[in-house]
Amino acid sequence: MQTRGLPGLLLVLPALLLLTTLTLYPVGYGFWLSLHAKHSLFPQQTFVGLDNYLYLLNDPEFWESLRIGLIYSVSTILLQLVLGVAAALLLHQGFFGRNIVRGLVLFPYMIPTVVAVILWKWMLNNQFGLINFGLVSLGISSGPINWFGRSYIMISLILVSVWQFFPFVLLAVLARLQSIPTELYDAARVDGAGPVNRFLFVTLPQLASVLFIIILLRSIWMFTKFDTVWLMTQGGGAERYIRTMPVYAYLRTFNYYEAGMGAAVAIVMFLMLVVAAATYFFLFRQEDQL
Amino acid sequence: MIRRSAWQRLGLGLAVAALLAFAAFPLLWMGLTALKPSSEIFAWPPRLLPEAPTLSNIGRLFEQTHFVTYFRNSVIVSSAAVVLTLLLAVPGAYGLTRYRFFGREMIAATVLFTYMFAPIMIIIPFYIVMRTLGLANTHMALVLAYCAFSLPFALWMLRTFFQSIPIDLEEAAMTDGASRFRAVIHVVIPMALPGIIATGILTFILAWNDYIFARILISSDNLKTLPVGIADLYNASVIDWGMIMASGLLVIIPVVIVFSYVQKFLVAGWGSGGVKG
Amino acid sequence: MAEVKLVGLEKKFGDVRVIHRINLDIADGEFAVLVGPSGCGKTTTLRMIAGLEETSGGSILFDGKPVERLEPKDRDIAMVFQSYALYPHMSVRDNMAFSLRMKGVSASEKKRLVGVAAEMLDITDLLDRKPRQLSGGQRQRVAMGRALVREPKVFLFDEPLSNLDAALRAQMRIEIKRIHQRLRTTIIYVTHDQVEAMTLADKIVVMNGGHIEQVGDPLTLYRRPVSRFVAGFIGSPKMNFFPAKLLFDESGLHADLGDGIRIDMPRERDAAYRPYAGRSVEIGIRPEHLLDDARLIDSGAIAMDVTIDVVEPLGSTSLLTFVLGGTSYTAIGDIALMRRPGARVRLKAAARDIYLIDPLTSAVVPPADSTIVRLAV
Repeated sequence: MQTRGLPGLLLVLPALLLLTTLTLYPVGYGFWLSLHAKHSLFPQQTFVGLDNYLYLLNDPEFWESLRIGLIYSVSTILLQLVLGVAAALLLHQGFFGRNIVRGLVLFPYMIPTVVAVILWKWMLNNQFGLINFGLVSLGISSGPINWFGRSYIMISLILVSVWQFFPFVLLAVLARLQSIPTELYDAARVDGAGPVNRFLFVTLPQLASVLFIIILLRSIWMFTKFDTVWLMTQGGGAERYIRTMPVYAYLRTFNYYEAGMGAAVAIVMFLMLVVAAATYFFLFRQEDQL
Repeated sequence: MIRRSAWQRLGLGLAVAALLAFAAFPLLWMGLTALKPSSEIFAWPPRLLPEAPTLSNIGRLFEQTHFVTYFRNSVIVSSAAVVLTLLLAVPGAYGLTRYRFFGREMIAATVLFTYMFAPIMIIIPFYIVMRTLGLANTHMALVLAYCAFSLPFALWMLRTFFQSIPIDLEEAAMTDGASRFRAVIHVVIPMALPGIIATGILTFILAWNDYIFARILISSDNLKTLPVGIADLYNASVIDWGMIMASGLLVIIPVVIVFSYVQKFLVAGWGSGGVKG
Repeated sequence: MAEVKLVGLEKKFGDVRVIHRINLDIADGEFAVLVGPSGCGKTTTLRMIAGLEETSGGSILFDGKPVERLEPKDRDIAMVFQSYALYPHMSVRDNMAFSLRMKGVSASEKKRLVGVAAEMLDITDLLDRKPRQLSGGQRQRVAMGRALVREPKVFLFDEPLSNLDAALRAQMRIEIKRIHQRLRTTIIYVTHDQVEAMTLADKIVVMNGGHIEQVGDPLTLYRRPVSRFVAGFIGSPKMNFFPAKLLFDESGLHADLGDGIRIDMPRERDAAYRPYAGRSVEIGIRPEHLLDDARLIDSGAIAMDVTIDVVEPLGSTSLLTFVLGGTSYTAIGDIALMRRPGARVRLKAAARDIYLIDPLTSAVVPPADSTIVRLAV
């Protein structure tokens, strides 16, 4: 029994209202803003049409931020996926203390980005960090590596991001793994499939729909990630070299005080995501999801 | 029953140990460092356990910084965000589940769609809107922001939970003489409690951990939340590692406690119609 | 085709023994059915034969060769699961060809084998569909097709019909029997439904609590149950067990059922039953042998006067329920008699159709007389 409507609509209205004013309206306002030149702190603005966008098209900093952003996102997403799926498969095996391990492995995702960053800054510290200590003692490296200098900053960034976010993949994949009927594996065993074939023909197809959503969500979030990138690169000397698009948008607004330009960068990001998501859906949509 | 040879067990054990080391050890290291005196922190080669564990780092944290203020602010803002979110999401999700009305699925899809707007896209206009409303540099702005960001996920998750509660129960309560409202309060809410708690906790964690909104919306030191406060500690001229590690340790303790209770709900929530295909 | 032998087969989960050293011989080409209530161990036994469960002791022999250490794929078996376990993302054709693909069979050979199996099961026009587009009965056939394609030594069935409605079940039973007749492969079939067991099996294995209660062909199990459990399990409706006292006086051995009902034991069985005189026993009579029928003659028959409690018409007969000593029992009546609740009727049974059960050992006391053996036809 589902009663007809009005009360339902009323129940949703407050939530809808908040979302509209605080999410949809700012988005609309962002579009509008990108068409203006506006100082971030003062209310005056001038309509400039698409000038901001045209500027960005010729702005080497913009293209660099796009390039860096793509390198960063793609690398982290791939690694998060691989690590997350592998860890989920591992934790899916029954072993003593599995629940405790499962809980512990989720911690990186649960802590504030700030803490994750300072923690790794300490581990990767070129004088006192454990990582350098390990590398030098094991003879892998001749001297301590500066993880925050130009040559290695991207690697450090990717390392911290993967560490922080792979548990998300792990959680979702593990939940799905645990709902695959074991009889399918029995049938596959009787049919002569070894462990690799069982993974390929039973596990992976069942995971397809979860992976679809995970890749989508993580792509959106890693492409637009601000905190980790900003906090990791501040103060290490490599800020100039690791500006992803979100960082660039931030700088345009709060360093250059050009809110219109900053908004334009954000809108470009958004449009890119929409196009990518639409293509993604078109190519890979799974029938049995959402 | 799976037959496992000794080799396989060894391999499994090693893999699990490696995973655990990767995920959990850095946190452990942070905690251990927080409890070491400076002499041990900067010892080379570094030692694992503190020989003379001390609370002095924590002490300096409380005395020399506004850590306590930041902590208090975080608690206030996060709790308020949870309350507001649940107040809006529980009735909202219920309305989306039990009632049929024009545009219902469209609203549900739009809600989920807004979830795809990452903070960075919203923050700039959001900041300007708050400024115009005179809410810049207030806790209210933060609470609103966190609520806006938790709502889509909260609505989605609670809707799933409500959908899994058979409507027969409400109908039974109503034939027993309860009005719809009371049926919901006495029957549905208690059954959906795990989902409500899980949603509340996820909202809390989102608010507790947020950096970007707090950074942009708050400028006064006495209103800062923990993530911003700690980041600023790091940017001070001389880095007091012991103190910083101590701050990290203290910040994650509530999360750890809260999280260990809610852990099993999370996996259940994901599996029961959340992301599963 | 293979002969299957279980020797001292045992299964433990931790310290709990669930299968207690069972022995079983199944001849080549035989249709053996493992039947019993939930939890009796029949599925566990089947899974051990399949290789999906490890054994805790004893051995499993296919044609004399021990297989208990082999992986399922090396045992040359095929299995049909209760929930069919069809690969959801593959077409019917790919589902059926999967095992062949694992073996590395050529494409033309795959096509041929799948075609043959599909034809046998009448699913040729379903080959390109996905499992979710099929009805329950169709999925059942595909699951069987997947098993058939492998041309295995032994077919294993794990309650394949329990998810189907009654009409489909009856239809599929015939299909399975037909396939067995055509292929003559050894079949080991698990079910909790004794009707399925009776209709399908060459040999029925009744299991209870991890033990084998009795092995035999359907008719033997029906006529000669060795234990109270088998007597009560086989046959529908369930056998009536009347608590009684066995007495011996001038008129001979008779059982006193209370309420003035008295059943005379057949003379031929005096020697077998005499030792129980003076003791509490149970008298077993199947409802289909306890009749309310005007056409029955009285001679040699046992008679019971009871009051009918409930009448359930079944078509040409009705199920009559009556109460004795607080317990309900069932009898069969001629529907033409149009009995009503409250009617007082005389139920009759032939002397040879009663069973004596020793309540202490739960065993059926063998009648040990030649008359009965002759009549068991």
